[in-house]
Amino acid sequence: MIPPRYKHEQAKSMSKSLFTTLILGVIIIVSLVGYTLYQQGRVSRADLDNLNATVFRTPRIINAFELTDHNGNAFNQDSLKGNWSFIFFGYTNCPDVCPNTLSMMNIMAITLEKNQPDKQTPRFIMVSVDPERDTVKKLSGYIPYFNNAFMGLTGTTKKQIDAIATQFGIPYFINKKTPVDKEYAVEHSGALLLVNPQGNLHALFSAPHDPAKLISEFNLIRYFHEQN
Amino acid sequence: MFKYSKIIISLLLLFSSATSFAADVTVNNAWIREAPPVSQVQAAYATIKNNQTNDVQLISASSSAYKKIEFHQTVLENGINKMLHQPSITIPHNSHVTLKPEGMHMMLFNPVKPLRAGEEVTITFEFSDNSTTTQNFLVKKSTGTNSHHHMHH
Repeated sequence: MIPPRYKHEQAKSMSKSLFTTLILGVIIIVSLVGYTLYQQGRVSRADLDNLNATVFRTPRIINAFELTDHNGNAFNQDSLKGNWSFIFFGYTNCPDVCPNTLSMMNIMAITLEKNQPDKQTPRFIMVSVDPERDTVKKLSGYIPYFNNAFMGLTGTTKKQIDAIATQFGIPYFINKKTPVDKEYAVEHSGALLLVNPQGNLHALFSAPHDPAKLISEFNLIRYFHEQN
Repeated sequence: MFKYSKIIISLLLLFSSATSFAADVTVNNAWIREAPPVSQVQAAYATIKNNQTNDVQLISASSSAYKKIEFHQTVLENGINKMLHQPSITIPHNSHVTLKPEGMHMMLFNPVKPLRAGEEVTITFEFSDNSTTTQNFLVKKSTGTNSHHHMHH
């Protein structure tokens, strides 16, 4: 017959080991949850593959091009370094898609500036696919209307535009009905391109665009790039 | 007496041929995107509702504020934005057509003067049944949202 006192001690030690087990269990669960959350907080390459954007496994080196910005300054591949850049190809005689895209880019710029004041706001650039009509003067009256910080780029020849458009995978077609046609439209890719601060082509966003989605995907891409 | 009736009849004929009747078409949400002052092109949007039992074609649009107005459909084909010129827009009976950013729109060529947000522009529509309707379009700043994103949220 076990004395009642001993029985009590046994129960006490049992509850003690149960308590230890419970504590251990809680620690394990908490660390598992923590680790999962940590993993979620980290952006993995697989997360980038699930975006709407196409994020290049190896950012592409941008070869030489020579354009002029809307203030008349030279702009080449090295000018892209030092900050992220969103680049859109369009033209000023475009009544619907281009002003709509530039207004959307303005919303992106304002939102990024407001929500991440500690980060440098990316550059927003429109490269003209219509160098014949889009002179530096024309761009200087057009681009700042959408946002004073936006930049317009043009050239004096189609060859200059091709030097950047081809390597960015941006097709465009100048639709002149006659050689003297002045009201022609230019068919062009609606994609937005993202160049990283090292001046390499980093990602491509296909049209149609949603500014909220673009911002959240850009934040993930930037975060992943800064981690690695 | 005979002489006078002849005059009256010719006057009536003149009146009926010169004045077209108003269409049973209603235009709503009529607006023009404000553009930078240097811009030579703009776009106008609206919802055009045909209250009749027959389909009707919108065959032309004109305004003293622009040199020319055309109907264009923006399409996104393999990632390429194209503008397809439309000679007319069919408005199905008891239905409507919405002209919207990055969809069907009116392309406005060469504004007589730059137009600022808040101003109004009168555009006259001409339909296939010879009817016409005149509508005020409000010039607005674009918000940059487009037709593709109104389904979810």
